[in-house]
Amino acid sequence: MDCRETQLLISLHLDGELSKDEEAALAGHLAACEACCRELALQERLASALRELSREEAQAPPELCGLVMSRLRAERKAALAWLPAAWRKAVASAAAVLIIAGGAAGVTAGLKMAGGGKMIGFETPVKMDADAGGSTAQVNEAASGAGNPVGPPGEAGASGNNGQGVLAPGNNKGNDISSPVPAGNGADTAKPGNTGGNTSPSGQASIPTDEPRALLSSNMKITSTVLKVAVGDLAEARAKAVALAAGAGAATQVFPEQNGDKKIVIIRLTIPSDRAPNFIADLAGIGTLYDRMDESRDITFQYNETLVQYYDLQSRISSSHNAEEQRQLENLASSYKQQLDTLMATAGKRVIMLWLEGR
Amino acid sequence: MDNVNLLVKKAQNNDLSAFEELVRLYQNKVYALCNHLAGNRDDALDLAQEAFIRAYRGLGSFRNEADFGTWLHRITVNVWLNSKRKKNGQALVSLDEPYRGDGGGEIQRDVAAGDGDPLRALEEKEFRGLVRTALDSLSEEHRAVLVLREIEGYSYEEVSRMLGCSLGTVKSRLSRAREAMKRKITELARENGEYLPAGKERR
Repeated sequence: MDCRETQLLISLHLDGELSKDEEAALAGHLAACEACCRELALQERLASALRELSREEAQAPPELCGLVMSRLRAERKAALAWLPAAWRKAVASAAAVLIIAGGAAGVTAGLKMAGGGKMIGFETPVKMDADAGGSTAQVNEAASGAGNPVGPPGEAGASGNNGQGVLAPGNNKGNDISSPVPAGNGADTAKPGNTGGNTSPSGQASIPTDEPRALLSSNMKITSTVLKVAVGDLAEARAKAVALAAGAGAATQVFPEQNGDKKIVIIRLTIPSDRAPNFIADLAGIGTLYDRMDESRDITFQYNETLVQYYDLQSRISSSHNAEEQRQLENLASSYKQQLDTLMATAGKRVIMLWLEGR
Repeated sequence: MDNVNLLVKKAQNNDLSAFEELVRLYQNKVYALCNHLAGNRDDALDLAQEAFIRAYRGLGSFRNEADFGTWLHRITVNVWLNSKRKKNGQALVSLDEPYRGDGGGEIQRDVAAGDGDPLRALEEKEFRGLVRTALDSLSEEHRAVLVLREIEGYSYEEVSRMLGCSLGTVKSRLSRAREAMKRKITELARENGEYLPAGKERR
């Protein structure tokens, strides 16, 4: 055995990794080689010095935990940003169901009326950020100023009436808002949009569908709560949640979802804010609540932006002479409209995403 | 331990407060390793942060048969090695190789050069100070293996799993790391003027 080999044996010896035979061979070499003896002594000294290092204080700086958690929370927040969008989409498809069920009231009616000329004046609906009176005045101005393509007042009135005809079937709920519209009368048309901000819960499906809206100046907030609940029996928990929702008068949508091999059910619930705390407590009682996140988003800006784009689309639709283009624009407009409806329907309410997960 | 398993399970289900609890439980353990690897507090803090964040993202891959602390250490050492590789712009290969071609003779002479051992004269405290400096000057892979084995006390088996290399590699790398350590500390002792070289110095 040469000194080179011994080097490796010494290392293994220090770690107690040598077999008996190997230990004996090492001992034999050490007895005859002073250099390797010194080497061993030095390595033992090094090893013990290194072990000594491990005994030095190893207090993590107090800020470590906070730094880690704030980074993770920020990441999660960013990840959560998709949620409202997903909700919007989910609600849009639900709105589609409602529209089908309730007789095509919303989208088509709104578009027809718009196409008929009512909102066409809004080519540049800048800054109508005021109360009903203010916006009405500006709406009128805009309508008369840029309103050439609208055609003669009589025509607008006629198409407005048309629009109402279309609306009527789906209109049973939101009657008070939509029916007394003197067609072509700007003074009235602005109002419903404004009142829409604090609509009664019952009007959800049909309220904001038919009337020209005003931009919102006040805060329009969506408060959302994500509850994650682990449950034993997913189907049972889901039935319970739906029953609770029915009891509390919450609007419910269920989205079954697969997440890897875990079964998950997501239920979206909308309930007036004042009833939310009790309702949330009830929901949490379905299983083991393991996460809760609350978020409040001011959607005023989003609403106004969408509205401006919506109006812009309307004017493009009416000025287009190409049927195909019109159809495309109308499709686009209807998706904007759904967004507006959804935003309006959710404002002032609590949206609860109940995430049920099988254990 | 059951408590830890429960927290891990919760954290795997995106419960951030459970993970926060785990961070609190293991921060000293992780930070200690970071400190030994990085060699200074600032880098250690950065490394520890990064390690915990990677750990959170990788929670799904943690299985309960492993020790959570060991798992965290494994992540820590890998984060560190990767960051070093990135910084160096090249892989740290060949560290196990270079001496092979040198032949055994060098070692022999090297060992023999310890005639007037410069380290013998050192007080234990000074010696330990030099050990720290020498450790920081080692290549990343040598440092990692020494820190895991000597300071953290992991078995060969554990070290091989943590570094993702074979047992044989761990054995030979440790031996070389110890050799490198000895050279470095001898060199440092000489530079510090503790010793006037009596024989031929080899670096």
